[in-house]
Amino acid sequence: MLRRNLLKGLFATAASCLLPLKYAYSKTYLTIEQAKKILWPSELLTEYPLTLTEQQAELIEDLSDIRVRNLKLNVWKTKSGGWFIVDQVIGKHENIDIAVAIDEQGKVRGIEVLTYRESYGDQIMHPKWRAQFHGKDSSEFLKLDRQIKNISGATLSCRHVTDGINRLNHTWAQVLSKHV
Amino acid sequence: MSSENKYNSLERCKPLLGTYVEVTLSGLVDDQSLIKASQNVFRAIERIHNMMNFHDIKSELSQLNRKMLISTNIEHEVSSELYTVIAMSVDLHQKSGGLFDPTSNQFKHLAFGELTLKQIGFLAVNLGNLGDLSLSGSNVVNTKHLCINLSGIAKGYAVDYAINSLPKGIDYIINAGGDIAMSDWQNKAINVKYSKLPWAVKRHKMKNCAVATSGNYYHSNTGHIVNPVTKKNHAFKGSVTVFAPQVVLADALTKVVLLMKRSEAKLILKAFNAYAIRINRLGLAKQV
Repeated sequence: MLRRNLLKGLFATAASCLLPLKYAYSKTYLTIEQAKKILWPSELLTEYPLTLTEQQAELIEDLSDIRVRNLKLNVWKTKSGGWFIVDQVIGKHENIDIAVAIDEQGKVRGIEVLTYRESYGDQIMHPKWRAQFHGKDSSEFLKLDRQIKNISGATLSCRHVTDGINRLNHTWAQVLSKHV
Repeated sequence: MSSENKYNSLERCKPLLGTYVEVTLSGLVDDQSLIKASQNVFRAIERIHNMMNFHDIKSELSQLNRKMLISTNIEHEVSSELYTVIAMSVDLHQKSGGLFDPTSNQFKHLAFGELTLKQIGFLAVNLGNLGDLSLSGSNVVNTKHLCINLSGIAKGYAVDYAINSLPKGIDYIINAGGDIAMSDWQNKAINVKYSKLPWAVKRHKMKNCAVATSGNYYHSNTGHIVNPVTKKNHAFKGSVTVFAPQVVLADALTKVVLLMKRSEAKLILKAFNAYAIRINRLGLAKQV
């Protein structure tokens, strides 16, 4: 028993030396420009710089029960009052860029995943690691980028994205809808 | 994407069916045609999702479940799509000796306004299984009170259904949370995920046009599959992958193969023209 435990420990130590401590996998589906053409095909989009106040962020957090991680919004506006938003959602091991189109009535008319990133390790929780992705195309910055295609595996829940959409719905109701 | 009429490709991903659905299309068509084709695929998947969503009380499946919880021995008319999935389920239930059984005892969300507390209490211990459901023409009949949860296989069926929306000349790979269908599969391979670690994938040649994998590595318990015959939690590690002629069948068969002895699993795979592998936590693969 002691010998077996010793061998298990030696094996685990050797394995941990060989395995990458922080490994990232990512997949990019669409660029921001491609997503704009798909979600708002016949509309001209104008960039609309907006930063939430602390008060607004707190209100959105209270209403959606989801943390607001970035006060700066990446939003574009259509002539008819619709919105195109690029945002980031974070799960336990995933960091996902999404594009969401919301119409002038506040209804979500489309959602696209732009980039899906998965990591194993704690960097996903570090603000500096997350900040490098915010509002950018993934091709600019990933140091470890492995494209693995056609993955068949156990089903991963998209709950974090739907939570993110819920937060954006409240962002529209509390902030964007007032910018007509 | 490109606007010229050369070989173009498009890859999109949306949250649907409670997971991520990836649609990859390519062909000698312009990018607008690929966008339009992908929109049709997502619309088709959403249609099946709305129809068979167990948690949505307005879905067709929930309406059928409510009727089957309240009454027995009455013929219920269902859509051709729902009938197809139920018929496949009944067939596999019989051929697997009851190991495939998508009935559920989580029905309380359907009971509001329809059932009394006493009735709910009675049903909680007196629900039947899929063996108590039969087909009559294009209708279904339950001889005992029943509730069906098609969540897992509805995902696979949604992919099979969506393929029909694609015009000829467009190659496709549709991946709904790991349930995959692809054209020209003979020249392709997949990567099977056998652990939650991002690098834990095993490359394998496609053995048929559809593939599905079951694994419990995203769950904290060692087993997330309950044996419907013994009612016990079945512990396993790693994953099971099934290649089959349809995604709905591949998905359903993963549950059966997990629970069966290897010799029995071989027979049922042969009966459905399917092929399966098991991969353990260390990434070692073995044909079932």
